[in-house]
Amino acid sequence: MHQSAPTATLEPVTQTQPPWCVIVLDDPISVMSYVVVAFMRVLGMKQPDAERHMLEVHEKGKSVVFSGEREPAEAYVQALLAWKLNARLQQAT
Amino acid sequence: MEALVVKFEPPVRSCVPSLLELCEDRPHAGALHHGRNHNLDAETFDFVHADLVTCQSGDLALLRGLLTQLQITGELVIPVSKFDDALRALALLRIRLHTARLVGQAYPGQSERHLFVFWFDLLANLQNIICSAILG
Repeated sequence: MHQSAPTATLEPVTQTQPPWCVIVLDDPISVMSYVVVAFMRVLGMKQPDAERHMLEVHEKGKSVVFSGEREPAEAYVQALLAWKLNARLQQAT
Repeated sequence: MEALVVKFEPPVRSCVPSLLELCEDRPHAGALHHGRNHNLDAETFDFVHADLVTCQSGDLALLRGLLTQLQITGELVIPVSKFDDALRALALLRIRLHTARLVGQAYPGQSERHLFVFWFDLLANLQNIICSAILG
């Protein structure tokens, strides 16, 4: 009796990775207006958004300024570091 | 407005060489050598480390140019097209000034401490002036 070989059906597996976050930490040096300009230049934020994130850094010690794919997140961190801001890359849990 | 012009009195000009020392194009401030034993808390240490990692020679060249100009003419002339570069350069200089004070490399005495505060605030004021021009 001919027995056909078992066939495996491949189910597409979609793994959803948690997004990567760019976090800016407070520091003892950066001037508030400077941080606002840096957020606008690097992240393309409008001034009110940039001011809101700056105040969050100032008052709470940190702010998540970007959440998404790893590659742009890394680029944003490098750009923020070039503006001498205390930026970190972190994967959301 | 094509450029921002800030004038300084002679006493300020005479102090510029001490700032120029902080603008050398090499890893600066023994923060990494002295490490965490020299009053650098972990966050500040990381922050200074970021300065060393991301320090760009263009920022330093701009700084040296601005400060040399200030020493010679008593004026800082910052073209509008250079506002972003000047902001980053001033931020770098404030980091280095801050680090130098923390590790005791510069300004260890009382009078020098006043000088540190003076420059630290003055550079912040310059940043604020530039930012005001940008933000309106």
